[in-house]
Amino acid sequence: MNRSQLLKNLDTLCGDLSDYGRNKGRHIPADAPSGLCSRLFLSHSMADAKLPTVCGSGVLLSASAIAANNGTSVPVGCSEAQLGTAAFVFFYVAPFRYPNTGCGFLFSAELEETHRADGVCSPFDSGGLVKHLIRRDPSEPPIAFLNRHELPVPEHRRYLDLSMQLLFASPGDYLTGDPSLPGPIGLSGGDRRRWTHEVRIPDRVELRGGHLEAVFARRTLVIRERSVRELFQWCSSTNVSTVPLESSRADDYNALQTACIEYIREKLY
Amino acid sequence: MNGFSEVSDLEVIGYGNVLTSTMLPSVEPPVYRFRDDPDQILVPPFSLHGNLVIGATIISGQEAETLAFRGEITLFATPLTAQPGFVLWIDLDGEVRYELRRVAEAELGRIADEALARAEHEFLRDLNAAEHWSGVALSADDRRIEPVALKAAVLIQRGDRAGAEYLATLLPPSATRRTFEKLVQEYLSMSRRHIMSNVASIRPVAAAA
Repeated sequence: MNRSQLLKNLDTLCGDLSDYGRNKGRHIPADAPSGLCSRLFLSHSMADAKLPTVCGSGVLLSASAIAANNGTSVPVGCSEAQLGTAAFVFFYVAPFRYPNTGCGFLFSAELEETHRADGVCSPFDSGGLVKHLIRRDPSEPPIAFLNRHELPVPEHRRYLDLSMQLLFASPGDYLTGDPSLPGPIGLSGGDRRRWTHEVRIPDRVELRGGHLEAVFARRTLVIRERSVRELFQWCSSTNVSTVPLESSRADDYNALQTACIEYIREKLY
Repeated sequence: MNGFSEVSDLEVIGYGNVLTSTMLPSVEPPVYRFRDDPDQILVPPFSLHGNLVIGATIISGQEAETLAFRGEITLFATPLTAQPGFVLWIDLDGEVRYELRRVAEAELGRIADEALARAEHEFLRDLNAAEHWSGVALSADDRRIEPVALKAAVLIQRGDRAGAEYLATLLPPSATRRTFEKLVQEYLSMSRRHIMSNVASIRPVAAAA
């Protein structure tokens, strides 16, 4: 989709959301802080088994690129194939969301600036459209629904800012809570991914490309896996944060998410 | 997002991670499903409090299959009955263990002891093996400082002082840098003594020649 259409989508969705808020009696406070929204990091998490390879190669790859490297192709039934998004690397503009509890990367918001021409956003997890999210009009094909809601980067943050101000009791609830209003998009079901902005960058994102903000991994993994340790060492020499996680010993399997939320609060609040 | 569910209503169908053999042993968060509604899958992150699973996300069986296919979670061929107070862990052979926490802790402690002893033994003979076993000891009990110190000694022996220095920033929360450095020196001294004793045992032969 070309950028002018993405900008049109943005104007339409922002208009709809403003009208929705007005009808619900919601107003944006004059002193509403906008720093959190504009600086909120992009997150990408994964299972532990993938981390050594990613650290060794120094790059996050799209599903298509990974399949091509393995001499295969993306399965036709998967959501990316159905929605035409397999050639992108996916990020949430949020803390690490389920399902990955192992390790992850945060990138600065400036990554979007370098992908104005080819990056794209949807104000929900696109894969959910063919899985757990329920659309108001099920006769509309998921890909058509997605196309109507695709937004330009980094301008999608204008819509995110409106959402955080109008749909949540407090803007910070976007990170850890639920919205107090469902919003005008017309999706239901699923979980936090229903309102989490998803940014897609084509093909590949370099870890050492200047936008890496922080790396989170189990401390044992950093010590045991050479490529992970070498990335952590590089990070510490280049002002990129490293967050080693302790293994679970007390029935608490929230370590990655908790550490990520704490990191965001420390850096952006 | 699920509020809470009772463990006694669930069965364990997998765990929320994928591991390689170099990451074992490892305690992992279970993936549950409701016994009376097998299409409702509970995935981490969550916390366990007695008989309660708190804060899990509920997904469909189809989504769980997709995640497993993508290498994000691991699903079992046969489910296990979920039990309060149990811990799911993967042993050195990649076998799934689901046991009372005290039983699992004891077994992991035993593995850590044996792996550390083996690592110390191998440190004098085979650095790769020493590195492997120190990693096993650490994975079995990441509160121990000795496996980290031994790994640092291995890196120094290989000439990677920067790597060894970096390990000093990755100590268990209860450990001090001073203890770590002392242990590293002890391991290096042990190695030097071993080399010297080998040299000493060669000398009489050389002298005789």
